[in-house]
Amino acid sequence: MLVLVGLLTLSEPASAAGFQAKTMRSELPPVEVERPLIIGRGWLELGLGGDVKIAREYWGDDGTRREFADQDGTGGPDVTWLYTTQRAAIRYGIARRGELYLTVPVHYVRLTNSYLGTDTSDFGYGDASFGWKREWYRTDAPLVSIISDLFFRVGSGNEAAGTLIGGPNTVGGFVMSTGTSDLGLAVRGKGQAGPFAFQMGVGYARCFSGVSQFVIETDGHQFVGRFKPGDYIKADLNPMIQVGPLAIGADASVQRRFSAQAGTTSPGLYHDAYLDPIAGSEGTFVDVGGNVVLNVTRNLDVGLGASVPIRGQGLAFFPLETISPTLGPTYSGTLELRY
Amino acid sequence: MRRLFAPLPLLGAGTLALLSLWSPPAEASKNVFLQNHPDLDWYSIETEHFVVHYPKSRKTAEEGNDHYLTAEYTARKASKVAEEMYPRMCAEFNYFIKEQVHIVILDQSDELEGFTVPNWDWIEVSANPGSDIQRLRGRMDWLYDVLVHEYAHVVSLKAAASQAEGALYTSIGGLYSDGVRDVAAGGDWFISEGDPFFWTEGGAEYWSDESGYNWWTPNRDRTIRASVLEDRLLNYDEWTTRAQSLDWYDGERGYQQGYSFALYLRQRFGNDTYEQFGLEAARAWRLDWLGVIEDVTGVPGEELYEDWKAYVTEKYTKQYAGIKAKGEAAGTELKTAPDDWDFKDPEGRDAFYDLKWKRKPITNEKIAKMERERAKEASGTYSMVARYSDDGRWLGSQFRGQVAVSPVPEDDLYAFGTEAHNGTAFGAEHRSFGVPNNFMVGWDFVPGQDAMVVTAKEQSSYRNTWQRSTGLWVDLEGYDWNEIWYVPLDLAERKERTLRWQGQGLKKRGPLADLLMLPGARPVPNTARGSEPAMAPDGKKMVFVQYHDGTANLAVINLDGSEKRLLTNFNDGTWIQRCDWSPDGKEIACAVFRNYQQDLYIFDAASGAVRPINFDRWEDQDPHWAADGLIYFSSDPGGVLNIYSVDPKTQQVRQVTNVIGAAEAPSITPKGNLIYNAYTAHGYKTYGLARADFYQRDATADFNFVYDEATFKEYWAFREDLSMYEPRPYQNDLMAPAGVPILRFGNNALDDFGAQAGAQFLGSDLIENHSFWALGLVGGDSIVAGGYTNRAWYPDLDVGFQYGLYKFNYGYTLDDDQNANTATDRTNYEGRNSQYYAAVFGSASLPLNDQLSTRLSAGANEYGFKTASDSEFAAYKRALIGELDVTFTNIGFQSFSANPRGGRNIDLGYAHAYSDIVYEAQGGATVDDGELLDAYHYEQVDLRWTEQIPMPQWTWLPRFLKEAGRLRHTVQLDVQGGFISRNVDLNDELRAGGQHPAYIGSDSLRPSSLFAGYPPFSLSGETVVIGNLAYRFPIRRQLNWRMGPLYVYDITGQVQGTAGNLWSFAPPESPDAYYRDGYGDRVARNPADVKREIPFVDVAHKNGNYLLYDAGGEVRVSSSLSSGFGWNSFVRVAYGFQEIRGYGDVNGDDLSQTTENAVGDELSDETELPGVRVYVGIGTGW
Repeated sequence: MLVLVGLLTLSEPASAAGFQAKTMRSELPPVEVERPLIIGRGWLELGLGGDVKIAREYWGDDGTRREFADQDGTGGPDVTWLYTTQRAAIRYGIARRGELYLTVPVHYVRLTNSYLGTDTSDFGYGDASFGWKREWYRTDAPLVSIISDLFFRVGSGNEAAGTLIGGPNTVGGFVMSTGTSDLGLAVRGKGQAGPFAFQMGVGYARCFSGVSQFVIETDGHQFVGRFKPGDYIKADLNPMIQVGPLAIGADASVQRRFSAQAGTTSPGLYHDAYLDPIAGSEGTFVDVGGNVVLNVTRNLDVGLGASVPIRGQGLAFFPLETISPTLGPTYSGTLELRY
Repeated sequence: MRRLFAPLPLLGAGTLALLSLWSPPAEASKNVFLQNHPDLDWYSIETEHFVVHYPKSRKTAEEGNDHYLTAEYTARKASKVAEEMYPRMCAEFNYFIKEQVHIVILDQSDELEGFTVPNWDWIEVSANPGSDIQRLRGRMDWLYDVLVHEYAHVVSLKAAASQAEGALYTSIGGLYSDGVRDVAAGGDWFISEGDPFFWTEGGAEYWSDESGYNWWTPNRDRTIRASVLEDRLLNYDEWTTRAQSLDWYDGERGYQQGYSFALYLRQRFGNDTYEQFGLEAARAWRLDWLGVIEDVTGVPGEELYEDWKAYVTEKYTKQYAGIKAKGEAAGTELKTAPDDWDFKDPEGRDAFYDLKWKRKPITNEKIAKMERERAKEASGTYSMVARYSDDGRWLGSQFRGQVAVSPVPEDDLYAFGTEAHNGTAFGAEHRSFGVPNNFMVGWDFVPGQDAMVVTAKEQSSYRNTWQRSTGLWVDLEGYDWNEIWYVPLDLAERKERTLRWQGQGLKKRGPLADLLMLPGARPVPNTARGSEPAMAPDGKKMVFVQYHDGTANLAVINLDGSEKRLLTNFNDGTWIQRCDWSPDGKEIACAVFRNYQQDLYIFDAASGAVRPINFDRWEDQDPHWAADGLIYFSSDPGGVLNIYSVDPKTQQVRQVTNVIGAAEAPSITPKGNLIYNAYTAHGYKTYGLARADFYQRDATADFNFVYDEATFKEYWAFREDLSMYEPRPYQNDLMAPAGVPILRFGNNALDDFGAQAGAQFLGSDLIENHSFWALGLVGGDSIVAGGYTNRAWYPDLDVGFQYGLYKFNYGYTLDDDQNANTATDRTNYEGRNSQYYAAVFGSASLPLNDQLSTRLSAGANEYGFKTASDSEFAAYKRALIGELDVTFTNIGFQSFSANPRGGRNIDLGYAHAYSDIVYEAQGGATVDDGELLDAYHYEQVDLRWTEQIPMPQWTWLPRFLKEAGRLRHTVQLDVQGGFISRNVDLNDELRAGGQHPAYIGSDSLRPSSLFAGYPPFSLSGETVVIGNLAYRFPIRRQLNWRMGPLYVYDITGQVQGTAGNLWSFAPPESPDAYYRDGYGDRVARNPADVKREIPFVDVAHKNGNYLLYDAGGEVRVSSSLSSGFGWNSFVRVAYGFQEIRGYGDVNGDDLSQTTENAVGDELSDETELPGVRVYVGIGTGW
């Protein structure tokens, strides 16, 4: 502390002269409907956002909707699953046609059971993702933008559920990471016609295996086992209309997740030889939703959104929402600051 | 059963490697301050497009400040120059920069400076043009030269950038480490723009020309003309990088080749061809920038290069033919005997060398050419400003930062003598010695005395050999200004050594700075920032040039420092280059640059009254007033710098030399002959031309002597009005923010492959008083770290923090019966841990001089982990540490050299630390070496001493050893020592084992080859003594081979071996003295029974050996990628001769054995067998 005090006494307040907008920075259209799928060169965007998902139902392994049981006789499900994500997302226009991005999430989760009288919550670091977007085709006024997106998800988050002694049902905390990484490639396009725009994308992700602290392997007498989430294909559609500074959009997405695998590590560079498929770990998920974005200035956007799942399956990986989404609406809000 | 969790040896190692990623561009690695200057205040002048910052001393000279300085005039003038050039330079690229660009004016040293980091909107230039710019460029219009050049960089590099300015470059890399196969392979790749050297620097020259501030001066023409005629041009590959391809002057050659090429393209394709290259490059990043040449012109770049070369060859060959037709008057190099290869024409010279080198035999033409150039450069390179003492006893010549003085009679020199020496080396009576004198700055003999006056440095020049080798002196302020010194030659004669006047001229330099420490040698008082001394004929007074605020003034002073008088009182950028006294001692002739005009003037030594000798457009310089009453000088009518003489009374001018290179700095010997600087493509040489061979063309008509007295007076009195540029106090303005996006792939020996992404930032205020850095990476291992440095006071003050979350896998083999001979009862288990590491630290670093620095630091850290059965992290250990480090280096600048040649690097540290094991699952304690450890204090001393010893070429050595010296072989001795005062936890112990630069960073001065034959971090203990001896030899020097963006400079080989060990504490052997804990470890009942192992006496129980040895070899490839970034690679193979024991997964198979070992201690039952380890680094350094 003394050192800090000393430093402060030696310093004059700094001026932010270096933060002037630079000549090299690309033009950024003022409204969402005209904006391409990558941020322009030289723009740095910090997105602060959050999702709240509340689930009082769950997907059966046959894809049927099921409510949590009402054992306490209150007329509603005993269980409420609250899954929130708070994220910081950085996008940087590294080149005229290139964007780097990075998203770091943290999660607050809470599981209450009124029948059992339990109320368990946890807060922790989630799985970060990052990638590189490259724009391959672009016209302006009206906009056409076609990009590829090479993305990674890394198992950075909390993956230790707690004590092993009592088995999986005695966890003292919630797992927020698969402990594994994904590498994927997506293609997206956006076309504009006056105030309307239409966006669609499709991508595939290869999920790599890894020893994960939450995987309690019993067959091989291991404390922990090797786990490989199922690879997946995901597609989405997003129509949009711009009304003044307000962009109103709809979302529809479908994701097909293939079978996950688990087992023990095999020797050598490739560790998956001893993994076995997990029955019932593949399924299809469809979500629909809507969103509004207020383009306050080029430097500030505010967005709100909501989505609901309309098709899913129970994949038995609760509470790993990233690979086994529960059944409940998700509400989201974002604040995007650009420099 | 052994402990189930792996120890935590690698904590922080990955982080350290990542921190070392910050490897800014060469330009950005400079600092404003060599050392801190807390006596300065800073001010700023803001204009529409620029902010100019300059320093000013708080105390004036009148208040007793010996180092008073201000750069206010320079800053005002820079403001004017900057705004003037802005529209013109931006128009070149039609790229009008909106952001204000900051110009920092330096005036703390007397050295030239000029560079920029466009991403930071930052230009740094010195107010002082230093000593060599006039030799380089021929004109002293310093601010227009340097500022326009640097701003041309800013505009062109911004306009040509394909990436956003917020990213200095993008870093991609990683390390694969395989403990089973004993391989560590890593790579680093920096994605940068890749602008080639000839375009970047030649372009800046060209755009300065295009915008009206520069032109193809005679000095520029001289550089290229000589290079063409002597077959010394950089080839198409060589000119893409900043590397000195063949040594001498290639930097300047690259500048001017690029400029000349641009002029050629202007004729062939139009004015904006060079600009179009940049704009084409900006469209999208490309791996090989050179492709833009063909895209713009339709002609492949190499073909265009050959076209240009043919064009300039024809042009200069014709010019040379014209000179020869009129009669060449150049004389010959001042040597004792002619060499067969003396320059006549390129064919004759090469014919000689081809014969010589084919005898070797060297048939490779590229190598033969390189060897030719080296031989030619060995003779008098940088030899200049030569003169004889009035009595004809001494010949002196400026030579690479010294004046080489030799008692050589004129008649003994081949150039003048009627009896040429027989060509063998002179005897002891002709031995020369060196007196320190700043590079390219004038000096003089003292008439009537065996003495001389030289331009030295107030701090560094007179440090003796002992001080230079130990760094033991204190220079806290960091000022090292020029100063005039008086040096008696008789003293120097007694110290004769190192420099010899041999058959081929001056060959070597040596550490002769201590000549100035001898009695009799003394600084001349009141000559701070003085240079270019010239003695009056009376031997008592001298005139010298005194610098202040971008301006030179003329001062006369007695040799004892008394009666100092300023003959001029400029404060407007006027520059005075060289002066000489009239034979009667009443007048002084000088070359003066002032108000865009460079001419010769005569000052009255008493009154300071001035009159021009001539008044014309030539770059007149180097006046020498000879005993014959004529003023000899160098000038460029006809486009070539030649020596002329002018009679100040009759104004008759005669051309004395007629050369094709350039003739500068004339001096007439006592016998009336001429000695002068001859510019050749392989160095400045001292040439002699006998009086009988003077060219003697009447050149009066080439010069203008007519001027109007009134006009001259007005011109001389003119002061530019710069009052509109008003300064304000500096406000700690920040540089434009920029960082480095980072992507890392790899494992950490025990882990799965993973990726990390993030960025590192380095920010600073514009004068670098405050700087900060931050690093954030997310992935399987996530790190956030940051720090701040304050340089506003004598010590640098640093504070920082680091927090990391790491994950790693481990495995172990459970042996039910604890019997190593039964395998069926063994079961392999997998495990995974999460760890955290948190640290804060602070330090104060005080550089004592440019070699020695000290650092006092303190820090606190904590780490812990979370196993699969934990829901929360549990702290394992907390520690506090205070440390004092002393670092000496006299070769720091060679950090990234493949073959550092000579010098030493020493790090000595003392620490007091406190550790507290707090892991509750173990009762807040741990067992190490049989001792139960909880909380403890300890002292630690570390020493790392690396000595680079070039193989000598002493004459008495056997021939093969001398040959090794000639071929630049080097012996490297690297010693690591360490001592911890008590038994400590494993994580506090000293460590050793093979290192990959990706772990520890790349630095030739702290080699990574110690115990390369053993696994990384595998050896530990409380005492370490390790020595590594390496022998290094160039395999191919100056290969200069380009393939696309890759440019390879050198390939170097090294063989090495290590011996030593780490010793620890041994658990008690007697069963009565210990009990076993829950893990089966022996625990001493009495800690005193845990015995310290004695180095070289005891076997180190942890690894099971008395001593450890390894041997190996490596190949280093020194290269750059994308025209600038060092991109150095290596392959290292090492063999560890001993089988070693240790903790945990000793054999690197990812499984820790739990079988009870035969010794019955806490160590693993595994061993690592003797074997080969392989390290590969592509772009990682070595």
